[in-house]
Amino acid sequence: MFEISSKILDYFGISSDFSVIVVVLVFFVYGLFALTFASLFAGITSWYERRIAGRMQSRIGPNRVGYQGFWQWLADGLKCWFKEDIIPKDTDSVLFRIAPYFVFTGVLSTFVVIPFSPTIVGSDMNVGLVYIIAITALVVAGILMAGWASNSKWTLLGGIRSAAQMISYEIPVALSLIVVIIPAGTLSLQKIIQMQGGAPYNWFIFHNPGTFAAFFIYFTSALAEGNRTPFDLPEAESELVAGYNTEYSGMRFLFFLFAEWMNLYVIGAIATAVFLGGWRIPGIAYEVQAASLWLQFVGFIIFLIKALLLVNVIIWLRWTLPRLRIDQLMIMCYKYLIPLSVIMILLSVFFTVIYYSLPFLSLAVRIVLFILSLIVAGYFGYRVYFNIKYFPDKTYLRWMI
Amino acid sequence: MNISEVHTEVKKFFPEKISDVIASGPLSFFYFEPEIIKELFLVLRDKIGMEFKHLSYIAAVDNKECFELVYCLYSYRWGNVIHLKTRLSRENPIIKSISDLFVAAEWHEREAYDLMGIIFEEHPDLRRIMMPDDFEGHPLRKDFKEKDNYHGIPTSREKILGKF
Amino acid sequence: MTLEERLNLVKRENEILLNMGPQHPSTHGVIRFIVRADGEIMVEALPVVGYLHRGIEKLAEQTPYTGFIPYTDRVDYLAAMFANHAYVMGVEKLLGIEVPKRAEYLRVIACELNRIASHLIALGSMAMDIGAFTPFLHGIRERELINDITEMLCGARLTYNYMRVGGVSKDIDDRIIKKINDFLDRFLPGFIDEFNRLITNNEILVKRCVNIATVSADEAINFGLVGPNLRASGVKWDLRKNMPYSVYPELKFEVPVGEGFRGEVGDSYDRFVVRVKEMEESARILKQAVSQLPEGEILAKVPKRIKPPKGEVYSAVESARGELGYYIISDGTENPYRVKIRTGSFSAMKAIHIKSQGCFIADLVVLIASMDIVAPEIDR
Repeated sequence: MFEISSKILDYFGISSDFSVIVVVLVFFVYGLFALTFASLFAGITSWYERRIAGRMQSRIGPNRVGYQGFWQWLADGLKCWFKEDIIPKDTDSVLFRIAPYFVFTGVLSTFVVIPFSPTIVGSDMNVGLVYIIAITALVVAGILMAGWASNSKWTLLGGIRSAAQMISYEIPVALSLIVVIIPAGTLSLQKIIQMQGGAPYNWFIFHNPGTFAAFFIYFTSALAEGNRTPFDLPEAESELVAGYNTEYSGMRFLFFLFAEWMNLYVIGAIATAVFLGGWRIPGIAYEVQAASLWLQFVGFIIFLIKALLLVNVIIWLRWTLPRLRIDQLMIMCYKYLIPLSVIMILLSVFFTVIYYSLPFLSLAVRIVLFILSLIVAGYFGYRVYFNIKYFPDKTYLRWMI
Repeated sequence: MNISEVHTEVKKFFPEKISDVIASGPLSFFYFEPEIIKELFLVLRDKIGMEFKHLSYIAAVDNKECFELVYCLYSYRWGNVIHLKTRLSRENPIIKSISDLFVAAEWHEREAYDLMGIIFEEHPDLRRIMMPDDFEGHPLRKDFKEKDNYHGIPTSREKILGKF
Repeated sequence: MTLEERLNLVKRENEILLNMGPQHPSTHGVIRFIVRADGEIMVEALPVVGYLHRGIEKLAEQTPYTGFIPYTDRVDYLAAMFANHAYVMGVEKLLGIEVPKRAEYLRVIACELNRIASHLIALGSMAMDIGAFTPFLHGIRERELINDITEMLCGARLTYNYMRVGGVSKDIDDRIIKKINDFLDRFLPGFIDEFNRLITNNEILVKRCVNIATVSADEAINFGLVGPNLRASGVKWDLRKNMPYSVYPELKFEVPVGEGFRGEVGDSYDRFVVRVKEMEESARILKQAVSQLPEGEILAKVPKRIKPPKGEVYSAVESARGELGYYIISDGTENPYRVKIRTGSFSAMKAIHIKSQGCFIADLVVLIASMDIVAPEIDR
């Protein structure tokens, strides 16, 4: 955003006395844009998820408000807005009121470093990844506050579970990101994207076997950190009623859901930026893309599509899988994911060093990994085809119902 | 082993305390004296050839003159079912619990205590089970009269139809 | 002793007392557990029942014999046909009535349809308690077809009131038979395979259920468990085979027992798989029963005012939740003198109390669901 502000300053010839005001204004506009984007995304995803869930469960899902029920999310938001904000007696009312904002802010703050295109980014920090890991800790604080301040045993259990889970899973998230930092040599998200090519085999996910595995470790741990099924223990509705947000109602309750759905985009966007080539367009050099406004827009769309594909996968998982138990969750983190990601770091170091002396090996490994993932995707497609063909009921396969 | 064979077998152990086999409609059973309940059920449960290890239910019946307890036992090994009965006096319905022999008996005895007011000695946890703790009376008794109100809530309803 | 005194009796330091229910998403109706937990690990889950106690046994003493049939529906709303069946069988035994063959076949068809419906709910809600929502709705989707069939058959979808003393209330026709056959074609290879792929063989479900709350065969018998819960522990006991009633001897079917499919014999996963297999067997029974259906009357000659002679009877059927028995005493009048209902869930609740000691709170949910508890059956 500093670049854009300086361009505006130059264009209008504003003297340096007022430059601060302009910069603040530009940042304010960008912040508004990010907030709007995140809120719209969260809302539309809530509708989209329910439609997908309906398809998967042989039912229809919301289809009354507007075309195909598209405005359902707005209706739900309005409903929650008008609901009474109930603060139960005997709660710690200050913490109780403040907790949803912690969670919301924690997730929203990641949008500072999440890029949309080569130049449209809140701030291209040189410690971008560290910033993301650090700022999302606010979410833990918020959830723990909500759980504690509600003064209910169910919320307390939910809060404690969630704190244990999120703090534990931050470790594999960080470690699996380090795997990519080694070949990239930078922490800035924009630079990491810049170092990847547009074509799929130039992405960091196919850089070496270490990064390939790190992508899946990141994805799994990010799901757990974001409290999504199969790791949604903090809000396990069958065990803990609704976990930490049991006592909330109205808009405050909505803030938790906002954060959850925004977090979907954050998971997808970080994976896209770090592993899947971000906004790069195949066959177009970085400088050309950065100079052209149209190519930037195309990059933004590409970035969005990649992130949305990942969001789709998360939604599939949620409506397919059961949930783990708390001890199994911890065992998975500390016994499997952390050692595995440490090994992947070593592997990544090994390959990065070897690529300096044997450049052709780099291309070979990339292409082999790319073909391997194509096979996996092909098998997945075959299973989908098989399941559709096998079951006689074709009612729910229609495009729109 | 059907009921008459069980009866002859058990009669060897408790010759005095067991009645003859009585057929009442399709069901046959025999009576036993309440004081031998533990020994009798131990024999029935553990004697080779009988092995009635599954207590199906305990039904308490108000017979106007006395209370009757009906025990139904299954033997999965030999594939048969028997019914036994015992009589308890109305004034003092006390019998030994068999919940240490059959875990299943614990709740059935609690139910009999709650609804019929039969007291089981040596029961680990004899509380009301269906009714609230502060309920008065035992509703399955034939002479049970419902109270007019429960904590100020009337239990009967005004008859609206008669008014018009 | 009151509940409070019972809790104070065993109270220890550093325990939290969680009140799970009567309104809780996973307690299947209005069951209440008082969970004494040390962190995530339970010391004990004390069941508090009675929230659905309607005094059906007392009501029976003031109702004529035929008038009590609708009440039996309410004993177990998910498998009402069995409660009907057991009760009318008992009254028929008291009266000494021979039921026409066609009526017996219709009873078997209705009961087996109901068993599939009940197991679909049991399995689906177990999956839902573990966190998978989709299998539950797939189960509901199939159950909807069964409900349509029973609606055509007896006019009701949940509380059927289908059986009469001496037969059944309505005859079956070709339309319904076609509908049953359509359902079976779709159900037996298709749905069961899809369900197994979706949830039964799901690694997370297996991990959650295997070796949780294992009930050995001896324990199961001593706890008084019946039905699928008993068979999952490896005891091959099915009233349809071992004490045959109705026309079950004429039908070929297997009795699935728990074999320790992925872990020990008698764990929660065995209880899950046994129910899946039982649904398959029920579908097989249905196929035979529909094809063998004889012609004839559907109602025997029964006097209008039923007045059985003095006597007692115990009649039991193999319900979806195990042995469901009616102990009826007749004193020669129009009303039964005493009716005692023996249900499977009642003893399963006691087993849950014992087996809950020392497992995780999350496992309690699995345990409750795997025992297939239905609240009105406990309280009656």
